[in-house]
Amino acid sequence: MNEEKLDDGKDNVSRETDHYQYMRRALDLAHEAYESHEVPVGCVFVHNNEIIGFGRNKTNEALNGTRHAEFEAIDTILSSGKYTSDVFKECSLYVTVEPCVMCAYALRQLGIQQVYYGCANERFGGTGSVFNIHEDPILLLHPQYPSIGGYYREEAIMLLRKFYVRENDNAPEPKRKHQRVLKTTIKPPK
Amino acid sequence: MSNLPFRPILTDEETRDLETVEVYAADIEPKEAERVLKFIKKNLPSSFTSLNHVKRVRKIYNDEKEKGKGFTLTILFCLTTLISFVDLQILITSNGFDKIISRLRVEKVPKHAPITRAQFDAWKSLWPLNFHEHPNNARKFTVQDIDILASHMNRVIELAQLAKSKGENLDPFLFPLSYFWIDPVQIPIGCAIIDPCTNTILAESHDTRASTRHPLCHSVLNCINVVANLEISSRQFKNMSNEQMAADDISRPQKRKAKEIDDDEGNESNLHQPKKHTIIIDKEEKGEDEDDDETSSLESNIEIILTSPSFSSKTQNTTRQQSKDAYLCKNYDLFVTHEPCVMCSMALVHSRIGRVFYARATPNSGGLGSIYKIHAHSSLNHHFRVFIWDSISDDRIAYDRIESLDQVDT
Repeated sequence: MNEEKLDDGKDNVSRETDHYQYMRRALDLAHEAYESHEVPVGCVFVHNNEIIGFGRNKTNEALNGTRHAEFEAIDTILSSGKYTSDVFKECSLYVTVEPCVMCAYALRQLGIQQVYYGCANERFGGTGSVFNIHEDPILLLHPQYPSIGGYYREEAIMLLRKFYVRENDNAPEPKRKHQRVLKTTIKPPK
Repeated sequence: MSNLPFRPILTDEETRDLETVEVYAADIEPKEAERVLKFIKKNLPSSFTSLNHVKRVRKIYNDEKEKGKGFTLTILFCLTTLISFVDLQILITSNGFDKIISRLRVEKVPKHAPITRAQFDAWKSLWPLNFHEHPNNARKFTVQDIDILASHMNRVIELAQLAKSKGENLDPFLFPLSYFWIDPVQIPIGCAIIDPCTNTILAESHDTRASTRHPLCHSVLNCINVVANLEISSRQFKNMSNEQMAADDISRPQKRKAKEIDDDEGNESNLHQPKKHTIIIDKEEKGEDEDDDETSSLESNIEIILTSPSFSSKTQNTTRQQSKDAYLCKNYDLFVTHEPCVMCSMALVHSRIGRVFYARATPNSGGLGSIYKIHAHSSLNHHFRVFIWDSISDDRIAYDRIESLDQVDT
């Protein structure tokens, strides 16, 4: 899963550490989301080795189930006035959790170059876990993109687990979860 | 159902034909039924968790014309995959049941539980089935319901035409949304979210991809954003009015009331429905910085709510009593001229939408029937009903080039 086709042998080491650097930043944003009682997902968009936009999940604050980290970041980039939507064609996305079906198709419409994610999203994953929106050839209108997981996977998983053992008072019928225990064992990726 | 102007987009489970599995069966005298069932329960591997929809016993009258002449029962043992025929025979004989059962054999029964009444009617002749129709599916539409739904559908078509008149026009040279495009394409797509309990239009929008230069400003996402902003301002208003009640000071809302709505779309929509809190997301709003955007749309929402007759000071108490806040788009209906794309379909799952009505399918991007059935996908945590309004003719949805529809996400 971590294997990546690298065009230049010399760059291999530096590029791999770059991936982890960008993902570190995304994880910081995920931590920020957790602290704000949001689903802990964060992301950064990287263009020419520069982070041009970042976001974290804001669905509870916005009372809007579509305000995922990716959408927050995309809206900041487009409303900055510095870029047109063409910029995404030269962008990589680093996101702590595999994009959901909605975000996966949003990224495809933007023509994103590639996606790097932390852990898989078994419930809504749109780039391999539940759907293959990123490379389904039947979706003719927009180009396919590669989506590669495994960057700081364990940390992303633990953050999500911490979030889900905590009670969510925003749910229509909040579940009492005081008996839930935080699991710390992590199975290898499928 | 056949008279409805729309039809449901059924899931694969709802449309599938009869599939069967093989089970062991035998005939018994009715008085032995209890003993045999106990024997099965004690001695045979349980296969009936997956066959809950199949009745364990079938009644066969000795004479169909004269039912008084008595009947025999056919009883099911278990799936043939769980035990061999010979082993079953040995088990039956060793327990002394070979005397009271006859014609031990293999029967075919429906593999899946029927979900629709059509499936139930088609499959029950093979073997008696249990059938519990989901209340949502069983719900009948009255003539009045259909009229109301039709008026909403007509409204979103008007919104689509409004979008067209505003020039929501995608020029591929300025705005290369898709590398497939050759010609400029009009994408007038209209959308509305309605609370069916009160028949209130909560949000209206149209596609704004062209005017905002934002490829993700699809009408459905715009509408979901309006509903979210409405809820934010409604909660602020509730807090505000609670504070005021406590302080016995009502001067603030009156001051605000004096402000006028400068939103021409808002007025326009009032021509059609009296009860309405409408905001159309405009490019100015979208183009602004995120924080500013939120507060500015919030402001206008509050004004609209305060100037609406249903929110006069008389009804403040009832507003206060609606203590349960709305949760996303739960139980709301969405009307849209075109089948939502994969992104918007999943956005509707995230928003817990109640029902979706659309007029035209979008074969290359549709997520609610054309390519995927996201509304009924087994691994997703929210399902909803989707209806296609195929009685609406093509020319009602004003595309300049009808065939270009296939090139657009909606």
